[in-house]
Amino acid sequence: MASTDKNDQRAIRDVLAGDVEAYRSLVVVHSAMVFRVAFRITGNEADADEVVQESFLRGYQKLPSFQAQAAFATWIYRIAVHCAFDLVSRRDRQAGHRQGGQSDDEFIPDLPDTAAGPEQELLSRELGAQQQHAMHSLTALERTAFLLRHVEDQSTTEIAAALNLAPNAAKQAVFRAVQKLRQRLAPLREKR
Amino acid sequence: MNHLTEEELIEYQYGESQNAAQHLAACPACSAALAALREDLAGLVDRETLAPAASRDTQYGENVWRRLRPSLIPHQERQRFWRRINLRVGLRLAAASAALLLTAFFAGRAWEARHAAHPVAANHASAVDPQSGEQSRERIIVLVLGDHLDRSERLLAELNHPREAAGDPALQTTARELLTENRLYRQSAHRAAENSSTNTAVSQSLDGTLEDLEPLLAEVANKPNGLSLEEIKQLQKEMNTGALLFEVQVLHARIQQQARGSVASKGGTV
Repeated sequence: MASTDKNDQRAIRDVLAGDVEAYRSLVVVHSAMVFRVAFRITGNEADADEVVQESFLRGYQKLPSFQAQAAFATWIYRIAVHCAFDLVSRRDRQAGHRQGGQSDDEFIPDLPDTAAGPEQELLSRELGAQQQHAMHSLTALERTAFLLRHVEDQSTTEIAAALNLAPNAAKQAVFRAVQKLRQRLAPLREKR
Repeated sequence: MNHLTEEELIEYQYGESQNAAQHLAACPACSAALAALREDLAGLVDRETLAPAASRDTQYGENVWRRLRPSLIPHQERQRFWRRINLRVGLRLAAASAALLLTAFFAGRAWEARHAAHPVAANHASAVDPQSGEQSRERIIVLVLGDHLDRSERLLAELNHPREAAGDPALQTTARELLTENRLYRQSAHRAAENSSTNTAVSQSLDGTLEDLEPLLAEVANKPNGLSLEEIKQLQKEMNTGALLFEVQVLHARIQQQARGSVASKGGTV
């Protein structure tokens, strides 16, 4: 890790000195990590690929503001979270326009064919569909904050930094997400 | 006993707070609530379902790089580009502001000269346009013009020493900046010299000197491949940079002197 950091710092110095090719090593080393977080937030590979591309481009442009004492991985991670969040917010707005203001309660998820298999499998598939529906009922901010907290194990401070929020706002976004998800999934709890 | 709120349980679950630990150890209801929360969260989002079907390896990074590479401009070029843009915009703004100030100044002088012929009107004008405003305006003009003449003097002095001038990488940039400013000042001075009915000596002298200076600045600024030692020597000879330097120095001194005199006599004309 320390040697990665050293290599990263060297590459950053070279890039800032005008050597574009030095940025290649940063892209190659950190692309997979950036893709992982982008995929978790956007939920699909095409969007995640777009986020990766945009994150490294923004990273390159903002490189002069990079603080040498920080790790490039953390820095580019935050940029990726921000790009992914922007993208899902945009997608949500577009989806909102397409649905013409249809509320979440009216949204009917694609439930599996009940005649397809054993009862347990059906229940499991129904649960999965409901979870997906519950996740989509969250705002882009709530969903992103929750995924960062629950899946990416980021602290409130880190989430706040990545999403340009006050720590309390980040904490509230996670709380609201968990509360909404639990409410949505409460009926299924009985069946388990 | 106050039970823990859902928020406190969530905070505890994610390790953001340890305050609830003692309460949880002693309260079966809150322990049960925490267990239910954990069960919900555990089933909520499975990390595996959030893993992409296709893995991303080193080759993926190479692909990202290939797509990204054409959009990247070397950082030093980017900086130079923005510096150039900023410099150009800044220069234009500075020159435009200075030209506006000059126009206002000379227009003010002309207006004042016309009203001086009518004492009543002049008295009225002095009430409207306080002396302190006039003095500060003159100070600004002297400052703006003084800076331009000062920089022109330095450029001319450099051209009088061709070896130094040939080794100065900023020579043409300076000449371009001065040329832009010079055009605006000269136009303002020319208009003022035409419009002013009295006391036009300085504005005419200013107009003339700036007019003499302009071709030299244009020559230095517009040489496409820079200036060689020979070319500078030729310019020095053909455009008589020594005489031009003297002319600029005299004008500079005269403007400063008359401005000082004007301020000292509280409203005397330049």
